[in-house]
Amino acid sequence: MRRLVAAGLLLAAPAALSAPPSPAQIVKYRHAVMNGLGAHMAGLSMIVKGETDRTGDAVMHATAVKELAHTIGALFPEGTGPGHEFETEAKAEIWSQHDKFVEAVKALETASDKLVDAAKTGDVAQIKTALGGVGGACGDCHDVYKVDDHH
Amino acid sequence: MVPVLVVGVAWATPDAEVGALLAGLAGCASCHTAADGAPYAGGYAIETRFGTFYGSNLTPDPETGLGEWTEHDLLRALTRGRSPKHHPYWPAFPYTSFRRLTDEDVGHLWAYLRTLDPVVAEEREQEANAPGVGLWGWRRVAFHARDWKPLDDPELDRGAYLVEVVGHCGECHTPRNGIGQLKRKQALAGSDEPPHPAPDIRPETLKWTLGDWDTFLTMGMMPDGDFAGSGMRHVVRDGTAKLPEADRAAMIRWLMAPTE
Repeated sequence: MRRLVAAGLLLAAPAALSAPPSPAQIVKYRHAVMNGLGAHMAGLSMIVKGETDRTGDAVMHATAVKELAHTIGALFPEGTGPGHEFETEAKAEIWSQHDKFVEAVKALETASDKLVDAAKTGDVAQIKTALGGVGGACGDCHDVYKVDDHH
Repeated sequence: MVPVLVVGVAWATPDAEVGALLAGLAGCASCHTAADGAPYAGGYAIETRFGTFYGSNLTPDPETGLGEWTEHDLLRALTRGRSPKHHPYWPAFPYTSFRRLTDEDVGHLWAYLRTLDPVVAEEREQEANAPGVGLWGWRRVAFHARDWKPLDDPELDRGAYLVEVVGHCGECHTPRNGIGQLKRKQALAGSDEPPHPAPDIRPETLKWTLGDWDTFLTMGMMPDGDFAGSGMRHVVRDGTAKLPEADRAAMIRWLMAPTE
């Protein structure tokens, strides 16, 4: 068993030790995080609208939203904006008005913390209010920092 | 003739709170507020393929704003696209949609605009890349004053009016032809037009449920959990989210009605 684990580590090692991720890879990962965030928000939205009876999943979704929200600040390093060979909907303003962007991300983090608190109460009305808070933070940020790609 | 007009304007009691809701849905502040500027004091740049146009100062400052205007001046501006001196406006100001605003709603809007704090802010010179005579010709071809023709179903009528006239959704979501005229047969079919490219929101494309629409218009969230960007946030936050539920429901009914 131990040998198997060691063999696994050896196999994994080259990937782990290779060069830092390329901007394109960072953007790809960013999309994965954003899509995940959206999926959990959609799940919560169905719960507060009574479109699913999986109300008990609210804490799981809210926790995921919170954890994902707290990674966002690290997913926009310099060089991952528009004008490169990879596709991104991120606007240049993220870097040209970076302090404001950081503030907007902070607002999402705070709102997502409240969402977890609300989900733990199990009270759908409270979840709905907190979900509105997170939604507002998502919307505020996208409004300024994201281009809508509708094709 | 004149007394009739006076009676007509006085008939509905202008209500600044109703005006605030209408102004929110019409998104007046979006184009009439500069980045970090005072609300409604103008200066926001709208960059179009016909030039860069700047929102004017809607606050009641007598020198630089609407302080010297009358309600009828606002009616002329919104529904005829002309200044108090009858100069035509560039249609970055969407009077092509507002032309069908009711006199009553203009009254509410006027009442609301009078409540704003006056701000001294000189209007920026418009930077059209076509000569003024082009605007004259364009108006001959593309702009005709129209009154609102009510639909038989009152709720559907309300929804259509809020979507097409007050909300002027089509100004971004409907494609334009070479001279910037909306292709009305492709209403809400999506447009690449700068400054705000906007998606196809026809019901047969979106396939959103009533609940999907309500979540979007109250919170800005789409069914996949994504949030609209590119200026749509203002429309939701300042407009559709603040509407009375019945108005939002009416809008949704119209937006979900199959396109002809």
